Amino acid sequence: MSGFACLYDRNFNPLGKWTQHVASEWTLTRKAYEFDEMTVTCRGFENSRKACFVGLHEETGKLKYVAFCGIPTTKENLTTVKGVDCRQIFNQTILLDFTQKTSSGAYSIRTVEGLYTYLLKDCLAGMNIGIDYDIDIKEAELVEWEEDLLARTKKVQSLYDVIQAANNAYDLVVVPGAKVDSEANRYRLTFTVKRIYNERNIKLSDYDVRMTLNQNLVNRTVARSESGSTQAYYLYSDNTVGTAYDADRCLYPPRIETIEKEDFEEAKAEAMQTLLDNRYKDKATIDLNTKLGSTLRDVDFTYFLNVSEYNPADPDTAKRLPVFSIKEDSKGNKTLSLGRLSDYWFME
Amino acid sequence: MRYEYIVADSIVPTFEFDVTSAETKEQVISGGAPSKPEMDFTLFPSGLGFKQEIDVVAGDTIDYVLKQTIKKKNIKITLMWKGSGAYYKYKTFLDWLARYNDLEKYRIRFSYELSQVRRFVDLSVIDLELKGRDDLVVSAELTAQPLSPFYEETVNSIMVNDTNRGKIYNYVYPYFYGGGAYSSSNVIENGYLKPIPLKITLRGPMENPFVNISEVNDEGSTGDVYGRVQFNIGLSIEENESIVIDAFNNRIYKETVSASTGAKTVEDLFNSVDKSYDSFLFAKSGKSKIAASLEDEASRCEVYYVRYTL
Repeated sequence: MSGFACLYDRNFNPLGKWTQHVASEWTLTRKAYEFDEMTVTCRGFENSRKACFVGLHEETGKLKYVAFCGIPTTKENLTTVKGVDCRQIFNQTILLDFTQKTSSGAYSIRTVEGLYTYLLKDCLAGMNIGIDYDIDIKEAELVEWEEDLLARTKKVQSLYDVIQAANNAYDLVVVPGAKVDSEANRYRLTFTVKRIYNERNIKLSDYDVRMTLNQNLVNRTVARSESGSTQAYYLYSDNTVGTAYDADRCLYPPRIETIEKEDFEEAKAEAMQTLLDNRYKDKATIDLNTKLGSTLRDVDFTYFLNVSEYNPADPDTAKRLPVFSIKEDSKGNKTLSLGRLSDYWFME
Repeated sequence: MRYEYIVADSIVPTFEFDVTSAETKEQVISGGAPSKPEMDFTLFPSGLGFKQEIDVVAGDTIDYVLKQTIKKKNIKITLMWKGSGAYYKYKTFLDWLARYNDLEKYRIRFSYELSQVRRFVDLSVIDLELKGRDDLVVSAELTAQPLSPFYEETVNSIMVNDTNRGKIYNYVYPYFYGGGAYSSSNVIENGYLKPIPLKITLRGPMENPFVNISEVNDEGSTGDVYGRVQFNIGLSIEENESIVIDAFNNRIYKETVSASTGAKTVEDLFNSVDKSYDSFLFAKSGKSKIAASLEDEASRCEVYYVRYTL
């Protein structure tokens, strides 16, 4: 699976006397909830000083992936470049204000597309990020707004954490890419919000799978105000969150976290978000080069996989898991990871 | 005592080395003839067949094929030179290898004839072990790493616009020696398992140049377009200019030949490719058809590809 790499400046003009560099090897790990990792090795680039982006192209020329260009390192006439996920633009600690209201008194942010427009664009306006980019939020317009899920606060916090919390709450994922501006015939960095709505049924025994499960997580929260109001939330075994105790669906042993705030609404929103962040804390890794792995080659981050025979000892068990990461390389290897359990879950 | 002699075909006397240009794929000529080294005898060839790797999942009855990969095997031959000047001949052979060892500029090629069809392979010599003199002959064992699968011919097809007849027709003539083949249409025949790269040269004058490749159905009709290279609207090339779309080397460039001096200048054109389409063309297995922007009588489209074989 050969391809070539191309360095681009911040306006996506390719650099160098010969702009295409055949890649001797490359690896690409795309992740839904963490930052992507990319490495590409080619013959030395003669001009990398103005490099802002590095593009990995398929052999037909189609742009497979674009990332910010890391510092190239050269050894024995081969240069290795590590790509930095473009979503690092959102890895900022800034003031986020969800309390703004319109002249009519309604909150300015009261739709999912409004929330993502604020998080991906408006909150960074005027900060001279130095990179032009577009956002595509068409699919966010199809998602129903839930007021309880947003803590109406105005405070300095991690923008990326808030984006991931919104992704977890609404089953959305923000994917970096580059779209073609047909008029200027130029690539434009674009962040696309995609719904996770496709479903595929699979049986774990059909694939060579490695599984991890983290049971050491908070599965109940209690929101509490200083005046004494309380509300309990439960994370159920089907990865939904609710307020009713259900002995058949609640997870055991219970691990409870109490969140106390002056503002009761803020406490409730944070309590719900804590449990939403703990959904799908499983990890199943499927090597697509084995057994029936080829049947999953078209699966991307818009899929939920309904995994039956999840517990090998009990064939009736099933779990619904989103896609966590897709890893591929120049040798044709491809691996799919399901769930939302980070590679470093044991350090959390 | 009776002796029986079997007169049979043999490939050993047909072994040949020559060299082509890495960029133009044309045979390198020296002193008016193709540049070739001398060997008096060649023996014990190995690696001339094919090797493939198959990943399977073993079932109870049948195995399921997951992946099929054609591998390249190192080629080994014993070379011999005879006579009192055998070492001198060996040194001449060594000098020839050294002259064309630069893989950026040249491709050393090995070929042999099998049932009157010559088979070629691009290779790089990775080991030449001198065995010394044994009476009248000096021998050396050569090991080479193939850089391509074996191929039986390379094809160069030229398409022109014949406005007198009111239609586009194609004719061909080979640009190079050894393995050149005639093609009577703009149909590419790929008998190999995998898609093969194409080198397309669009010779001006041309306005808004493009080239596309379509499937050819079993009945011979043209199917869907599956690859297209197009350039910025407004880009045009003059009669002394050409655009090369080289999928072998991943290069797209414009060549300009100065009318006064004949000097060639080359300019990278990757940024002028319309990014909504492809940058390079590969022909799928089976038959495919090429079409290009040949509105002007003087414009030409040349397609170079290699018919790989097992």
